[in-house]
Amino acid sequence: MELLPLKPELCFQMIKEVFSSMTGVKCRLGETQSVEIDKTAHDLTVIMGILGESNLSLFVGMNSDTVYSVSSAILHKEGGIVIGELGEAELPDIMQGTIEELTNRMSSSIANHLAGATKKACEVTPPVCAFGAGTDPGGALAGYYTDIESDLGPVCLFIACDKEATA
Amino acid sequence: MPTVIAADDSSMIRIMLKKFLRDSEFEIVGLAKDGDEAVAMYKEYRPDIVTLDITMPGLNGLGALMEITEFDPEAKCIMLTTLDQDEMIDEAMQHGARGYIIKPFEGLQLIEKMREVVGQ
Repeated sequence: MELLPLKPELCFQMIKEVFSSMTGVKCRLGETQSVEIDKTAHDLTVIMGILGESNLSLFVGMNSDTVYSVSSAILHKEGGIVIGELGEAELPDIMQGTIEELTNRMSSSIANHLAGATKKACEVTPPVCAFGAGTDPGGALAGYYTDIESDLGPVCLFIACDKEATA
Repeated sequence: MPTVIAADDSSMIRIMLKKFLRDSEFEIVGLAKDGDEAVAMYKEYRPDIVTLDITMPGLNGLGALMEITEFDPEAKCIMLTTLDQDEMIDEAMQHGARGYIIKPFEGLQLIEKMREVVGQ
């Protein structure tokens, strides 16, 4: 069974383009690795599902400094909003919302390409945020891993699929 | 001043919508986090226009659109979405959406679409 009609490198490339477009920052992708994981290890992990002809899960992990710098870049680029001018009380919610929007567009980008490749509609589940290192993604998963490197800090990407798919 | 309810589960989009419309002729009377809130706010405020994100937890934007247009067939709803799939847009338009905008969008683009829809 093939993982996807799309190569994982292409999925990561689409994710990178969304990241670069939303933040306005140049970045590059690390090497794509085929891996098996049972825990993620970031301050914030966002999990999304893409459902349709091919089902997969996308995990995006980053540390708290990266969450701040990425949110700040996106708010400024897309809304002309200076993060320092926002109220301290509303900041965590806005930063989380900004990262959710980023990851939502990442998964939508893959879903649109999948829909184009399979000629069948794909659905994207709303992003779910998991806080704290050692987040259990719900059992051992096999899939593909890489990271986005930029001045904003590392962003780790993991696309999970059925174990048989990577055999 | 035309009134607006905006529904989006993303706090980033909600804060941007507030900023974009602050200096326009539109007044935001409600910001909803999901479709259920949007429907409840519509029934309470009867705004001139509603913006609905499609992907939201609970009742999504398409579901909210259907409930709002069933309650008020004259409701003016604009869909905001990252999903530029023809099927999704066709379905929304068939259920009474007056227009749609693909994210990312700029403030002026949103305001022009809202002016067009309010004028219909």
